[in-house]
Amino acid sequence: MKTDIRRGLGAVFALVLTLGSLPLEAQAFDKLNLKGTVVKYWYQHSQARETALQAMIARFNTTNEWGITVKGEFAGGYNDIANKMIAAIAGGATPDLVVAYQNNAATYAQSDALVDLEPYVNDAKFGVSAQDRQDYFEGFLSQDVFPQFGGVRLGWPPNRAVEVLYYNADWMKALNIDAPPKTWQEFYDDCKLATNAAKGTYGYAISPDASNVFAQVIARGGDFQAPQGRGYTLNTKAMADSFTFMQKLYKDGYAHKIAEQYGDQTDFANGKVLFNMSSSSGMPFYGAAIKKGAKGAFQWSVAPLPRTTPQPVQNIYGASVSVVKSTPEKQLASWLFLKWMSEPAQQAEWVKVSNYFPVRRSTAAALTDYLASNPQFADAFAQLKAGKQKAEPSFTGYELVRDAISAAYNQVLDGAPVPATLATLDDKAKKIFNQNR
Amino acid sequence: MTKADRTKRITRYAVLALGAFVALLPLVYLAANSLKTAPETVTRISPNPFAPEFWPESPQWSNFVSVWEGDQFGAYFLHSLIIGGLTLAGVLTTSVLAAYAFAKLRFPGKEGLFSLLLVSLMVPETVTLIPDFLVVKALGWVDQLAAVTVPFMAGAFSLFLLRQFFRQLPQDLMDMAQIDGCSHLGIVVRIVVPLSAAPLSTVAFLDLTSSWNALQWPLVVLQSPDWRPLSVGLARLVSGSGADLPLRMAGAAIAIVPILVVFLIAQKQITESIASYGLKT
Repeated sequence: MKTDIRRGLGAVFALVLTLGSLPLEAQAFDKLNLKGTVVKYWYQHSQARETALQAMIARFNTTNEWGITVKGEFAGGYNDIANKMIAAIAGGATPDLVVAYQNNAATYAQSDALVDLEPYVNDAKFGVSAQDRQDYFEGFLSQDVFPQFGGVRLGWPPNRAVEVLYYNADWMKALNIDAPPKTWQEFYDDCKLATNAAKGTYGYAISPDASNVFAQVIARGGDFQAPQGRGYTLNTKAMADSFTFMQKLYKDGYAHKIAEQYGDQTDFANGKVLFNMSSSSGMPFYGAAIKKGAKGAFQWSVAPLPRTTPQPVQNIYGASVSVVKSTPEKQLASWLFLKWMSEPAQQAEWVKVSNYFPVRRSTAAALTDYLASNPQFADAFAQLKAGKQKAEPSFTGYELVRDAISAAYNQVLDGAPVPATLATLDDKAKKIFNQNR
Repeated sequence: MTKADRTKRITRYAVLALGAFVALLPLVYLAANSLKTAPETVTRISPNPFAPEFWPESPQWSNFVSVWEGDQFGAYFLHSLIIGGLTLAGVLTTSVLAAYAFAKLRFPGKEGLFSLLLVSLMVPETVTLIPDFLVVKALGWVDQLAAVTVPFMAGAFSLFLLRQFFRQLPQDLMDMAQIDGCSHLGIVVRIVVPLSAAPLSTVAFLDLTSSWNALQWPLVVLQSPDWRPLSVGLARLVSGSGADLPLRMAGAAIAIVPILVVFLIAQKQITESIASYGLKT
């Protein structure tokens, strides 16, 4: 009798230990009844993108096998959503899914408002299989893993864009330049060739933006942050080289600075600059502008930025979608919707309306016609597959550091000494980092 | 009129005309761009309104139709009218009554309370966003019309402005009305309000403009399209890496019409009030 009791207790103890070693979600996912679960999704899309997104949501609602209903709502621009989320977290009126840049997600995570998606991704039944995982661009997925929070995954990418070099192919041909510049020296030489002060033409239109600085820095093998999320490193050789190069290009008169929004698009479309550096998501707007440009339509395309690295390293743009802590049912339902959105069929549909890159390589098979009719997108997509991607820091308060970087870039262009400017910038960034920890 | 006077007058009008030109230029820019095609806003541009590139090659009136018919813009317009109307009615009622009390009545703690009200003017909206949201949520008003109207039905600035004006009204008038048996409410309705057209118009205009342009608060407290105002509708016209500028401009042109109409109607009173108090609208 005593032996039976001991055996029984031992079995219970072993069961408790086994269950205890599993993540809570892993134990519970299979038992959750998702029928009738309603998930609220705050996004920033409007116009054609919103129409397409709503159509996809409607299709998910009618076809998903679990009986989940997603309700998508426009909640303002990125900054509006960030403000709204902060108030909603304080007031307990959050949505279940929210679009969030990584630094915004970090802010929400400081209030313990977001779900770590890693258990969902790795779940045998509801997660992403090892084979499918290989299909995702790793750089896109790793962007949502936060070392500063112990490696949790706070978002899932619906799409991405990268920083590219726009070039006027017809003009390059006329200047006897046979290929877009691969090195910074080639870029300088090409800009010099294109500049004609009397005609008001320049090599490059400088938009003093922090994302562009980051793109230049990673193309020189640098970064804005120390490994493992230990803070900013802005006083580096790659940063100094980037600022010094642009300062010289500007001082020599081969580049000009633009102040107004999309001014670089305007100059490029009007044939006033040979090169631009900007997000690949702007390609449809460039295309539309060039068709009606002052100098008429011309051949153009995109290339990776000039570099010192052996292969291109591109700055990734794009917000992810985060799952907000709620009930286990809503969290799982939210994840299932995110996973569905990243499947190739939905990705192909989304690419066609948004012109963003898909997050999975296999989407290309469903985009044959689209790639054929959008050669610039096809070029950029090919470069994406061949290159590496790197994301900007995801620290809370990064938006303040971005402002400081833009200001420093402007100062340097206006003649401020690079070493002193970078030293001040680095101090400022470190202070911001420490204040927001 | 002497020659010197004439020169002075011409100079004065020239300066005023220049000021008017500078003030009107953004509106003209808005009108011109609202009638362009999207590519034209990139390729056909000039800061000079006398240059042909400033204007569209062929006016796209359809931009206005697209904005109005697409994306529930008409519904948002109606919501803004309702929100603005209710807010205005509320703020005028509370401000007139409170300003009369602070200007003409004696009660303990009057000066202290008034100072507290003035202090509230110095707290930025960002600071009060979360506490205000918590209150609205506790009252169960999230996503309700009350959330975008009731919190703005009392305003320290309006109260301050009216109180300053009411203080200048002759006390004898109030005393005589009281002797004739008029209550305080009767004095407000029959004497104070009819004598205060200028400051009331100014308060109404400023509060209506503020309600009409509010974006952050409606975005925070409204989570469905049921009561979304026009400002949110305008925000929806912004997209990705390039903006559909003509639609935004057409939307903005539609949005400013009611404010312009109100200003034109109340223009005389508003300028009178500005002249009296040196107020900047």
